[in-house]
Amino acid sequence: MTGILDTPSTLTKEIEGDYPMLLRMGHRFETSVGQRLLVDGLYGAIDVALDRDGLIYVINKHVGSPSGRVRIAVCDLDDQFKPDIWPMPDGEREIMGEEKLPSPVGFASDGNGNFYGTDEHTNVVVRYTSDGETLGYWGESGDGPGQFNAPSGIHVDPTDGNLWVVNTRNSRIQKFTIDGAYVSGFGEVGSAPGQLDHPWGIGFDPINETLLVADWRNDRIQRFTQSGELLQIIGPNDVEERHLNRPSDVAVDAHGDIYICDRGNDRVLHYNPRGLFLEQFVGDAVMTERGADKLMANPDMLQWRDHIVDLDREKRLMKPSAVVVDDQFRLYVLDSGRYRVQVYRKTFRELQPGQYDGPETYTDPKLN
Amino acid sequence: MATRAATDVGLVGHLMRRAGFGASASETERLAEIGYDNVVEGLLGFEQQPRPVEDLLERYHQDHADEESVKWFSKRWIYRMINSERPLEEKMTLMWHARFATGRSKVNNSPMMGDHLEMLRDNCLGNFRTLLLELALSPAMIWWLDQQTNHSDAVNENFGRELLELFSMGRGNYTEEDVRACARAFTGWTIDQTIPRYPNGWYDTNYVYRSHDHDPDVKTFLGETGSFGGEDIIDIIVRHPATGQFVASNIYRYFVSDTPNQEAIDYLASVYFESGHELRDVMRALFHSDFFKDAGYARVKSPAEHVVGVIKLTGEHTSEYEFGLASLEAATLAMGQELLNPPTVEGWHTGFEWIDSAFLIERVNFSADRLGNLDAPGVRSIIDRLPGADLSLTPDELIDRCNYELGQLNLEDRSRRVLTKELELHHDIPCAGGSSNPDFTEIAIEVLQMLSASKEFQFA
Repeated sequence: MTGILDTPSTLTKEIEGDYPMLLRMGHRFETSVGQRLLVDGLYGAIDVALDRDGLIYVINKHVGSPSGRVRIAVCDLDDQFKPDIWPMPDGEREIMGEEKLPSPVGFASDGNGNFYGTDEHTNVVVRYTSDGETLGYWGESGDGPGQFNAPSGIHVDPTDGNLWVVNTRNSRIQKFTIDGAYVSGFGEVGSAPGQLDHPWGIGFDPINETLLVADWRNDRIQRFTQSGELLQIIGPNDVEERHLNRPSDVAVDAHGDIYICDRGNDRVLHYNPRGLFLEQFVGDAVMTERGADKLMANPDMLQWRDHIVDLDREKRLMKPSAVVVDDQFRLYVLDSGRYRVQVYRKTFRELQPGQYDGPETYTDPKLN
Repeated sequence: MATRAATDVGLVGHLMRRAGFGASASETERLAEIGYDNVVEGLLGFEQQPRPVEDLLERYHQDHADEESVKWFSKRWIYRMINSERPLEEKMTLMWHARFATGRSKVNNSPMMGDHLEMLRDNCLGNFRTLLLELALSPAMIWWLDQQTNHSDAVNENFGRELLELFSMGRGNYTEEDVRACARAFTGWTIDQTIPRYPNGWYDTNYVYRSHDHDPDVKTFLGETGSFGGEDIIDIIVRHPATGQFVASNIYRYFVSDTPNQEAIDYLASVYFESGHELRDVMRALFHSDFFKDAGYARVKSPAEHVVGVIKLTGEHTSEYEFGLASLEAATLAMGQELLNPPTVEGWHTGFEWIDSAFLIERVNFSADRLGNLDAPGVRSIIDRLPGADLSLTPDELIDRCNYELGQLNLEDRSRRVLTKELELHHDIPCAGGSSNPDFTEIAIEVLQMLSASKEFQFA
């Protein structure tokens, strides 16, 4: 069978939710921001979050950074950078090599000026303000409920303000209050449906309040209810061209559309809520002014570049680590391997009853 | 020639130091039970074992994800030397890397260096003709030896000359006319211009053949005449007697001894030709030879062998979640071997040239520091094994048992006297409890450190 029955998704049960009827018109590439500054910029970038004012916050791991420390870079869509934010868990900038927060992975915003980051080496969640203040950190190492063993992806639950945190090394998804009180959790290690293997990023579907987890080493995305019931798998049963390769993150927009950061394949895939593949993003970046300045400062490379027969590669994503969407249907892709963020924007029309003669609820044809 | 039992722990330990980077005493005992011949076949047939899965390493160490980080492939390589279930693959790769030197000092492109390393790994134990051909196709090598500037109307002899002098036959076996013909045959073998580093970081590039830039005219090379291309030249090279001597000599010096033995080299060269240039057959012949089995501790360890060998004893860096690979890479550099960046086209000078006063201090400090770390699982395991069934040990027994754990060094009398004198205040050393006995642990660690600081420990 081909066509719609050759669905990329193993839909374990019908996805319920008041999803809007859409005419999806594609994504426009909007801009790219970042690239390297002289000493900092985006370097070792691992996750991206947005604040209420439209600023882009990128957390950079210390090890690859010329400045030698964990650092949060802040910029706007016009590629204007603000002063860096330095984690100061004890009120002072940390000493290189003796950091309390040496290995950040996840970074999330509550949309109200607070940010939360995970550190997989020290098993803590750190709280920051958008002004750069480190409010504190909490977390206990271990494999029991409420404990961390390499926390990675983090997402603020928009319904109650609590935090969903992915636990990489014991494959658990846990919910905490912002002060670190354990609320609930689920998940177990394995490759069977519903099990997880070194999960990484996490997304939240605002329409039906379900969780989507980047099941990294199983090369798939799994959707769960908040109590851990498996609803959907995207990945392993896909056609070959869309096999995921170590997906690192997943985001869901206000329509319920799913964006998968297919890190190992240097691309982002766009699916509808039912798990039907729509399009892929492989990168469309243009050089930023900052990048041009860097090149202009190296005239030998400027001259060299003039002899390149294929500059198309410069546009492309390399090892993207994270995706996030805003309320204007912008998609931000953290193009980690190229030190930048690529921004797309969805174009669409919302269809009204009568404009669309299809079924009013989503039903997987395979189930009928 | 003494007959060695196939289950001889010392012999198997010797094999693992040469064909790999060493093994703990407990692991060596396990391998000895399998038997020497079976261990050899396991080492040679390494395709039966999977290569390490390094996705988590790359994920956890973000500098590894960033290919612009110039050390990324070196650190990953060290991790693989420590953890690979194919130790001979890494050891052969290290040998060819030193022989077919390319380095980031000139290539200045991490992805290209990474591809080059992978090429060496893929071909390290295959057919020598294939290895030479892949070498000529390697973008890193092309850049390293300016092959992209070798044009039909403006010949650059750099690659052609080194192919003959450093990569296959050695000086004295060809003429300047042969060098010229060789270089002409490789005209048109080049690479696409790669995108410069700024502002996006490095991009790799590919080999391309430009027929319009190839010299198709008749050439005379090593006495043969034809309109040779690069592959024809390699065909002629690999069947030349000097190439057999070159391959055999390199393998002998790398795996057997710093002191050449012409009879042994001739034997290995004969296997090279009889097998149709198959390196695996040469290595099998080597491992089963008496001159190999009797060559224990006859080679000075390279810095990479020293560092990785110590870490395999301490049991560190077996997990992707462990920080500190950068310190291992820095250690090899401090000892005179910066991986993926050899000092010249000749690679590194080996043997006793690895040892000078500064490098020796680095080696001793590194091994003493690491073997003095009781938090390292391998160190704790060694100390737990030392008592055996005994409640106390004499100083000589402790020295012998520590020496056994480090691989049965050929301890000279002078070294032993120094160790014995250090322990002269002790008669019977209570050892019950192993590493949970702090007094015993302190003495045992001191002995391990002193052994690792010995002259004998610098050999493999």
